[in-house]
Amino acid sequence: MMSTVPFVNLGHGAQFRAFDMHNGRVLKLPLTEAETQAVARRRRNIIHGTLEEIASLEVRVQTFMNSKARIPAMITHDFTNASDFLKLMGNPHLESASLLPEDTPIKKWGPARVVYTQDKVQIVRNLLQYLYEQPSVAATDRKKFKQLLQDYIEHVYTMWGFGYSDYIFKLGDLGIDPQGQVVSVDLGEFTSDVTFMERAVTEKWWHDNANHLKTDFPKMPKELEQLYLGMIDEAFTTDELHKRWNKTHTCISCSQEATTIAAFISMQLSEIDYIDRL
Amino acid sequence: MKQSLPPDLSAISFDQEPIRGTFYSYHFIGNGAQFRVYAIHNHHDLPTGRVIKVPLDFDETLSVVSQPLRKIISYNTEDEFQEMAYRRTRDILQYKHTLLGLLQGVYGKDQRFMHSLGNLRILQAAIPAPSGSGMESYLLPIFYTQDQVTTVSAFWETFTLAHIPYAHTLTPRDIKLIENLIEKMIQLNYALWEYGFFEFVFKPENMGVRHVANGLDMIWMDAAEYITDLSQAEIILKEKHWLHPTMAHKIDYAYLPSVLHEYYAEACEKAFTVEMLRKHWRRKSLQHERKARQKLRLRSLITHDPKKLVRLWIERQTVRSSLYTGLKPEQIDSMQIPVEDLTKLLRDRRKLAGIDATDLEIERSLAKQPPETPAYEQLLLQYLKEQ
Repeated sequence: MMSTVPFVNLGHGAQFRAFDMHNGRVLKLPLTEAETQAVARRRRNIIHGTLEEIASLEVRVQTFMNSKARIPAMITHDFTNASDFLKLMGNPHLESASLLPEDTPIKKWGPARVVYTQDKVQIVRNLLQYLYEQPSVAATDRKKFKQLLQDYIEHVYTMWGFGYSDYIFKLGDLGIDPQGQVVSVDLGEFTSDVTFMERAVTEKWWHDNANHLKTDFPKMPKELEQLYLGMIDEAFTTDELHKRWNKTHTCISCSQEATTIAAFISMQLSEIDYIDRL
Repeated sequence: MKQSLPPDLSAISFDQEPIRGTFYSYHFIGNGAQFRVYAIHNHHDLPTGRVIKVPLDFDETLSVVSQPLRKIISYNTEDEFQEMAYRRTRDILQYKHTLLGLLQGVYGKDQRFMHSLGNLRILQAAIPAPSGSGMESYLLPIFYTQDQVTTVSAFWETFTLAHIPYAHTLTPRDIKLIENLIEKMIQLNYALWEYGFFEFVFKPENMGVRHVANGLDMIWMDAAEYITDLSQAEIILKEKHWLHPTMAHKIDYAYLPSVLHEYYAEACEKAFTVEMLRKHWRRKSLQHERKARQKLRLRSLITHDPKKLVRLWIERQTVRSSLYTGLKPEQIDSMQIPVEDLTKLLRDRRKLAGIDATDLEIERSLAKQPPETPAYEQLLLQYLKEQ
């Protein structure tokens, strides 16, 4: 009998708990509704575009659960160049959702029954935390941070080309793979709705990274905030969004099944997101 | 809905018959609140020098915890007690998961540190769940194997009043042994501090001891009760928790024989200070981090790809967390214990020990007598006469 290596808990966000599989991959298990509620209660979620307005707990929990439910459709999309797309997200692979037991009043996953594995990458959150703790930012660190932002912009542009985008823009949720490529690790905050993205871009939701009232966003040192906001404000505009959106999106499903009904269902059901649509 | 407490498993009769496995036999040694421990014997029934630690489930932990807890906490109703017992049980189950952290990353690579943990290894296998239990089809418990040693508290039995009635009867050899033992215990704590681990309970029963060619060797046998927060560690040190084994009312601690109290307290007083803690704290960890950063810096000097340079830069800034993750095959047990044996061990419900009436416990009872009772030495003589 071969003994197996225990998967070690790496931590959790509001949607998933990550486990190190010790083979260069991580396993992501969805939090139950009760766990999500516990995480959401600890956070202070200000509604975008408002100064202090806090979304209700129930709404926040529903948002987390619903956005998780969109992941399978995104990562199984029939792109002709699927590997290029999946690489941007650390090559996610869906595991059978039937591994999760039936819902009970205590353990409930609802529509968010998503289990997946993903490449293990260096997480930018740890870097931000380290830089934030330093008394000052060295010139070399500033230069490297600038390079990181350039790579990040390039990464987002590539995602836009595929017709998908992260709408939360949480810098700490980025990863860097061994080749130095930027990877999105948090797959529960993506949309394929360009109208919705237009709003996120117009309202500059990435400013949350520098908003100290948004305590669920890991912060960068103050000295880097202007650099960050300047570069991202200039790069993420509605013009750039429309110029790039869907331009490299070639797939089987969309061309064959883009019927009015499919588009309507897709828009109505898979893009429901309470907070961000308020 | 609240469940009633499980039956007191310590009351179940002790069965000395070892568990016979495919290649090995497993001799029950004892249990704490987290594991049942069995000595692993080979097919000739000779000790292999290793033990296997079998995780206790919730009910077993609750049963082990409830008995001493009832004596040390105050509560008004049985419901209130149950609530506290459940909470304590959950805490203990959580602590058990932290054990893996000690084997990860650079810790696992440091052979001396692994030696301090009795060459602790992991053994995880999918075990069929009992049929009709309503559980998933497989359980995935984590067992550990470790070098077999004697607990420090068992070692101390040699120095109980039953064996050594007065301090002046200690021989120079005894004194040397005690000095050596306490020094080893201090050094072991320092070794843990150097990696940023603070064993906060100072329980002698968490340490193990064995004779080696050049004297004694001490290991951190029950390595589940530790913290990594320096400020908390300082508070605990200032409160002198290491004195708990000398306090008769601390019944959740193995009692330190009276003849050793003075020497033990004096040695610990000198060794366990905030200054010493700060001096040792994370010293080895910092060395590893420095070396790792240097390596990454060298790699970045020969890298020209700007993306890879960013990756190396991030790695360099985050060694403080990344250096301590990842389990290597070396941390996995290689004794090839069959899954059938593990299943038998996991399901063994015969043996769970409460507190035995050892000499140490008798001595603790003597120390707890109020002052108006006959003089201490009279009691001692009475006790010795009864033997």
